[in-house]
Amino acid sequence: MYTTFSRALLLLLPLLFAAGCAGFSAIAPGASAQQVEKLVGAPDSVSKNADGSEVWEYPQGPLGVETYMVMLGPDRAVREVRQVLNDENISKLHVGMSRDEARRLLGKPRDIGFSSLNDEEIWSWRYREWGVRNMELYVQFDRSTGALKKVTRFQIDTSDGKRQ
Amino acid sequence: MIAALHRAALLALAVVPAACANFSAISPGDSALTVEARVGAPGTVWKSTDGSEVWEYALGPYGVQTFMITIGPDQAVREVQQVLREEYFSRVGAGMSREEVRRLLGKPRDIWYFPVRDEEVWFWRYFEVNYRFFNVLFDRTAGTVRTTLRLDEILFLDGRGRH
Repeated sequence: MYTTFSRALLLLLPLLFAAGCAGFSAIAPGASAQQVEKLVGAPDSVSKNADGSEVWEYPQGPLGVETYMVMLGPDRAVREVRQVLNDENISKLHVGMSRDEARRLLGKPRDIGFSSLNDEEIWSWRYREWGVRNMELYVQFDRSTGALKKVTRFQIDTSDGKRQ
Repeated sequence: MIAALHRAALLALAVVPAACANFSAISPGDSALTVEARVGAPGTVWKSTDGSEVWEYALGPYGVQTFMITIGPDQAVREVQQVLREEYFSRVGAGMSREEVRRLLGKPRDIWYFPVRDEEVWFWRYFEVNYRFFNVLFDRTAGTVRTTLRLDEILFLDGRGRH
């Protein structure tokens, strides 16, 4: 009895994992807000636009390398689902941008830090380039003006200095 | 033709940053006065109990080299080391204090702290094949090293977001 149960569980396990990832790809344009909630849960944050449309944001947690945004029309039907942590979006960051603009583009940062030597606030994200490279993105804002000062992207070297 | 190449080579040599040339001109046995005359006063001086000193020259914030000059109690140079390289980075291990790391690698280029993770990150920029960063992540409350990171700086091809 137990064996059958655990075997069934083992068989189900990959399916459960797959469901976690596939959740967003299962959302089709036209789906209702309720269907979205059923598939991927409640968003971490919602931003409302003047025209009544909304953006639901799903940052994938501190270790995640993907952030999804679900755009809903004023009719509360899905218009688009996007994974926003990609090179195309990152290249849209520019000097002078506000924190709010960066937030809308890339979603909630993984972490926010401060410089001890300069009056700067640093927003960081982790993402994956070409689906394989682990990248770290730092966006530095001037704390007094709130304007973006610098964008830096790094590839994390996992060879621990043994790369030659 | 050969003369032209020779001239080109000489010109190329002249372009080597003056700072590097000055440090390489310091040899063991030189006096402390000679050092000051060649490269100026150090940013930091570390005194040892045996009367020797280490003079630190961090060439940041935009430099990628930090020189440590050890001077004996006789005020003569013992050695000159450029410490922003793998040989020194590999000595940084978990549990080390801020003071030990600072003493090993010199003044960092910047220090960032992340309240949520209670983490303090020290950065050094260096050059090894391309421009890279060596980061030391400290537990901010304990003041000890958690881990280290080596990062390759990826420049935007279109130059946007940089300045």
